[in-house]
Amino acid sequence: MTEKWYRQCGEQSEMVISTRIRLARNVMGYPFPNRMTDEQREELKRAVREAVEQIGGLVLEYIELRDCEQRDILAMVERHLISYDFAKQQTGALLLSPDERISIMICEEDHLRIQVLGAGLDLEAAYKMADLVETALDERLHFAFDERLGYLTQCPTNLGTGMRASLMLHLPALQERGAIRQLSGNVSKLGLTIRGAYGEGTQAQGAFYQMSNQVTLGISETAAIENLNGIAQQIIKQEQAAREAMLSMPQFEDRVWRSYGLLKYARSLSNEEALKLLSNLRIGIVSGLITDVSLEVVSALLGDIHPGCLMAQAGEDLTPESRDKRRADLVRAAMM
Amino acid sequence: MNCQHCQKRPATTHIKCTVNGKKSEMYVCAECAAKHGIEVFGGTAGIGVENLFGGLFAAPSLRDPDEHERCRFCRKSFREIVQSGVVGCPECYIQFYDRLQPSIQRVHGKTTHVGKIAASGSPQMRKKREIAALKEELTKALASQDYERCAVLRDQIKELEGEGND
Repeated sequence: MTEKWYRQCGEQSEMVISTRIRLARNVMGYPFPNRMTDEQREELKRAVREAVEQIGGLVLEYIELRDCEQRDILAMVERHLISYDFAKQQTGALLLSPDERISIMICEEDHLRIQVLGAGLDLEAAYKMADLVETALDERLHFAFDERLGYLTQCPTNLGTGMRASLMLHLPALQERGAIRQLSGNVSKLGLTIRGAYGEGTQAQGAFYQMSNQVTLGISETAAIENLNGIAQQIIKQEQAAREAMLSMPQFEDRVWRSYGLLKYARSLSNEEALKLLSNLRIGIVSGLITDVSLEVVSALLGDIHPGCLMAQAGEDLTPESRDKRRADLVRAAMM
Repeated sequence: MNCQHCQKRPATTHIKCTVNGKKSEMYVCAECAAKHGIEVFGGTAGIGVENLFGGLFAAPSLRDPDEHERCRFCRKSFREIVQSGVVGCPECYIQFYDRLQPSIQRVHGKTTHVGKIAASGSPQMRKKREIAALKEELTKALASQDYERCAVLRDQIKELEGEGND
């Protein structure tokens, strides 16, 4: 079985969990999804599938959402392979690579959402791969493009490059200082946005944050990526400084070991608790306090502990109680 | 003060929008606010990026008598685009370009694409882009006093600019 991308660690993985590049594209000759008939949607899905099959060296599995179990769809949302809105509609289809690094949503908000994921800070490589796939598909499908407005998208907020580049950052020290709100205000002035990667509300569960570019028109892909990367480096520096202060606090060491202990021995863990504990363990590993668990183990767990993922893995629907038990089992096994 | 959208009913709702640091605001009546997905009482139902984008069209200067005009290709009317915040098809952008452009500028701050060119992009566009990239490189080469590179770049630019002008 091919190793999934999220079980690995990449560049600057101390603070950057993962990278995502997403390109919004529409095929000429069809209305956007909000004006499509069922026949047009089916026709487009066929056309995209055929085009992908013609591209040498690109192996993607075709998945019709309406044929999937709810728990499998939920698992795909939790792994950021598909969006929540796309999961709800169930009229679209997904093309997915065996390592889950490349995914193409067909008939989401746009005809195509080409997405490439990667471990750690991997913007250039992820963009290069997305660009290759996009170019090959453009030759066969012919994307809607205007010289003034760039790639034409259903929502004008994606016009231009149609590119959304994101980094998932782990910012526990900045979150503890209450600096995220201010950070969020500052990055928005620079055309970026930052929000919690898991859960709702202002406090991101486990201090995992997703930062991405907002502006897509009048800025090239390379410039947008450089911009995101540059600002991420600044934030990483700030997080580093905040962590040094955090490390010197007497309760810090206790918190890390306590979290490790719970992860190692607990018999029931809620998703929220597991994220919080894994977040603490992660800082412990990065700071050199914990040496017998690797960051890869934490990364793999971050991809596996969500409710849908647990049920997909089990192949059956589970009650919250039995999920918590399974989650604890999974975590314990990984800590051995 | 009357509603800035319908100009008839008194304005009761003040909508402030900050998109990518760009602020816009308007005073509208409850009915017009509801039309754009903003409920005056009872929660924030319907306020999404898309609805807010629709709201950006609502400034009086952008309203026009032809709001019922329909796209030649997908038949979506300009009014429906404004209400839904999403465009019907690529052709809508061409047909309603002048009316969409100010709102696009408000969202992105810019109006002209500078990124990747699709396979359908014209050779002229590619050439223009290539020249712009070379000129940028030339500026950098000048700054770093790499005069040999400057000479090469100048020749390349001259050659490209000369093409098709004979």
